[in-house]
Amino acid sequence: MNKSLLTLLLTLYICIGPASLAQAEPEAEQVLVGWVEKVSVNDHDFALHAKIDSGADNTSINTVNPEYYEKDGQRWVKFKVTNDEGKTLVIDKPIVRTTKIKTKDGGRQKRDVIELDLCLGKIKKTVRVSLVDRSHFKYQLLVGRSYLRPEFLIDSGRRYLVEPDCGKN
Amino acid sequence: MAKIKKKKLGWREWIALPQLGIDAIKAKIDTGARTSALHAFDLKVVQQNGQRIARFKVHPFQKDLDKVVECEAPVIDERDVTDSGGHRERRLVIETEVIIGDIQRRIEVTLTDRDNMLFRMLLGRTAIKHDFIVDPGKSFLTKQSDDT
Repeated sequence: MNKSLLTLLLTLYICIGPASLAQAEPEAEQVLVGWVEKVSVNDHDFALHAKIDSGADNTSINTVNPEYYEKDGQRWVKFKVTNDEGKTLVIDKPIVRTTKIKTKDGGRQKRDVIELDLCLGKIKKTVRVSLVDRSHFKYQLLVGRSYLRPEFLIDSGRRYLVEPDCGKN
Repeated sequence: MAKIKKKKLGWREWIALPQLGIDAIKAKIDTGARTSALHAFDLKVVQQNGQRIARFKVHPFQKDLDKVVECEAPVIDERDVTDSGGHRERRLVIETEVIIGDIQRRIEVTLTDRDNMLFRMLLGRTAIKHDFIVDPGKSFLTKQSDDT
């Protein structure tokens, strides 16, 4: 390899080699969403305004007045969620897990977990969702990292960049 | 597709708070929080030339209680903040420089006792929205994180 070709290649490498910060080009499939988005739940024509939260491990949904019962030896839960548009969805699901959450004062709290199909933009994913009383929070649904990776990127300066559009099954 | 001008952050990054004398502190990048927060203890407020100054200590490394940095910053506000557990707390707000990757920016930070929480520092939306987008599936994407 001659010297000038080597110099050319070296110069090219220096110019277009690894940048000091990962350039924000989404990997082929990644979708940019805002810090609040409408997310539809369980294939119904029902969406909740959701906080898109990189600081949360998991996803939680507002659970008020849950009814617990047994079916086929498993614990089930039934509750209603009403969205800002006045529409009500009944969620009736088996509890897949109960987790212990660490609270700020060092205590422990139990949280039941169910599975829901959530649609954000054109992507539908089944995800484990914790049942939490979120009635004192602004957003009834909190979407955490376990749902968001690897498909989504978050722009914390914008909201409502996508519409739920996963089609009907 | 148009190239996005904002750079990418993971959900965890090493950052610096140069005016507080903190060269490296691991921060949670938290799009669910509006304002940034820093764990501080031994917090005192003094008056200096008619300005309130906060004096406090920080353990910049999560598991190292021996490493202590003593900090000082002007108090610009006192604010009620609601944390992820729904608890409301009145916190002092300081203003200080943060270095995230190549970007240096002046941000507001609330001081809190986060002793039970894993991260010493939390960067909220107002600190990152101008320069970055967040990839919640990745960690330590900035060059600063490489050096640490």
